[in-house]
Amino acid sequence: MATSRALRPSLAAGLLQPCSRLSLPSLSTPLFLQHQQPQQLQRIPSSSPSSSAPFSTSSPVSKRHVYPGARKTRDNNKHRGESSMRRTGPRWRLSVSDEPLPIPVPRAEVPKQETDPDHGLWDFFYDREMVVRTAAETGQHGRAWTAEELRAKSWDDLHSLWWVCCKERNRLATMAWEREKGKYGFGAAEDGARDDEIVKTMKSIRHVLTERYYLWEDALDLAKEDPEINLSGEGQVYTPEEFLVEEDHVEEVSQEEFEKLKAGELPESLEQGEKKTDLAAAVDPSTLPAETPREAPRV
Amino acid sequence: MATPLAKITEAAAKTVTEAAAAPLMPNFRIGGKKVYLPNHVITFVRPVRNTPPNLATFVVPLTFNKFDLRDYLWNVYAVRCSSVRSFVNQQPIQRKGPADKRGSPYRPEAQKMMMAELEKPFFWPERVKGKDLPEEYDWARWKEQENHQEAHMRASLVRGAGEIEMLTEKEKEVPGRERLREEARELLEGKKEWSNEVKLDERWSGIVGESRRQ
Repeated sequence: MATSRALRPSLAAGLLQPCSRLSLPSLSTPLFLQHQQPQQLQRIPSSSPSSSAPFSTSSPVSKRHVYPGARKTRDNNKHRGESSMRRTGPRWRLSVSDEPLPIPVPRAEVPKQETDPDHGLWDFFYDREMVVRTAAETGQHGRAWTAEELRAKSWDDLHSLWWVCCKERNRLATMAWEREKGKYGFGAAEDGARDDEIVKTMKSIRHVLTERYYLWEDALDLAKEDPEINLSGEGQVYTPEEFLVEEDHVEEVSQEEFEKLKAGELPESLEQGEKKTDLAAAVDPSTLPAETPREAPRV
Repeated sequence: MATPLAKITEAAAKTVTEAAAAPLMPNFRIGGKKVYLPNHVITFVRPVRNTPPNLATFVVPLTFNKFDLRDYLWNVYAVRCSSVRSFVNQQPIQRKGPADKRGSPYRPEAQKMMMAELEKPFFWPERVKGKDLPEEYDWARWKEQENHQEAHMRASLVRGAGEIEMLTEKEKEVPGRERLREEARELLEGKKEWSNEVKLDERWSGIVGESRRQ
């Protein structure tokens, strides 16, 4: 600011005070303390010795007095005066130990380390010795699973097959990457063909699951119209109005027959049955009329 | 009476066996969202030189985030990792179609890579150099083919740019090329008579003599 030196008279009257000893009440106490506790501090005699204070020509008051906007005179730079050009060194002694530092071992001399044989990342490889297989080995594979084959499978089977496919694709991608980067030679086409088969399998799995979903949707629509099916969520879902239950036919065995059985003699009914089977064996089966298929009981 | 050292070793052995017997637990909170049929391909990539063995590099889909890879590695491969680093490699601009056609330029899709900090270090098997590969890999034949294709591609690039193919240093050193040049100069200067050592019919002598006179 250009007018910093030439202060205006109104300001100068308030700010610039003469620093004479006579105008101040006490020299040994700082001004701000005087302002806070004037009566208590004023009791201290003005002629108290201040021999411990360092020698300074400037008055302590003018040093202490900080008016608003005053320049900060303290130096915050810890490294002032340090120079690599002049080889001054640091200003303070650094805490460095005298112990000799360890000498690094060359990479070639570091002992060979082994991977844990149970490491999960081994699943990214076909072979632990040679990451890349030959083209002939990669080319040896079967066809993909078809939708017809997968229709008979359960959800658990399909889900595990999906994950088998996922891991196989990862393995293939890892091998293909290494084959290209390491310049192992032929085999990229075989990798692609193998991957295509896996993708076909995965598509079939999705196809079958979609089919099942559509079937379930249709079944739900039918069930909503069916009076025998209770979709309220309470009680039994299938509530048939009339159904057949085959009664268990328990033959009563009299005491006499039981004793006979114990003795090892066959009862009359069984003997008759044996005779009947003998008769049935005597009849030519081709002459018998075809049996009408019975309907399965609805349970 | 057991010495203090024996006690310590016994305790250490006990903790080790207990740790081995305990089932591997995830080191993060498993989320509630269940993914049944994810369709991602994760490529485990050989790390670049001087990568520490506890870092495993993967090429992942661009849609993957760090948590995805952490969950994937845990759920599919039972690998625990403490943290994941991720970066995207932008691909250089390429041209569509064959090299000499100089199709319109385009930028291929970027490639996302992630580095997982593993709990157990993993050391990749050594890479076998082409020359040391077994006979079944048929590397020599592949190399020959590769060299041929590369030369062809370079030539087509030059032609595509409308320039003339220059002889490479290798081609200049074709044996006999210098001798051929010398012979050609001698023929042009008339120092040497050209002949293909074929006995011509008598009837040709007149025509040949006339052309020589010219």
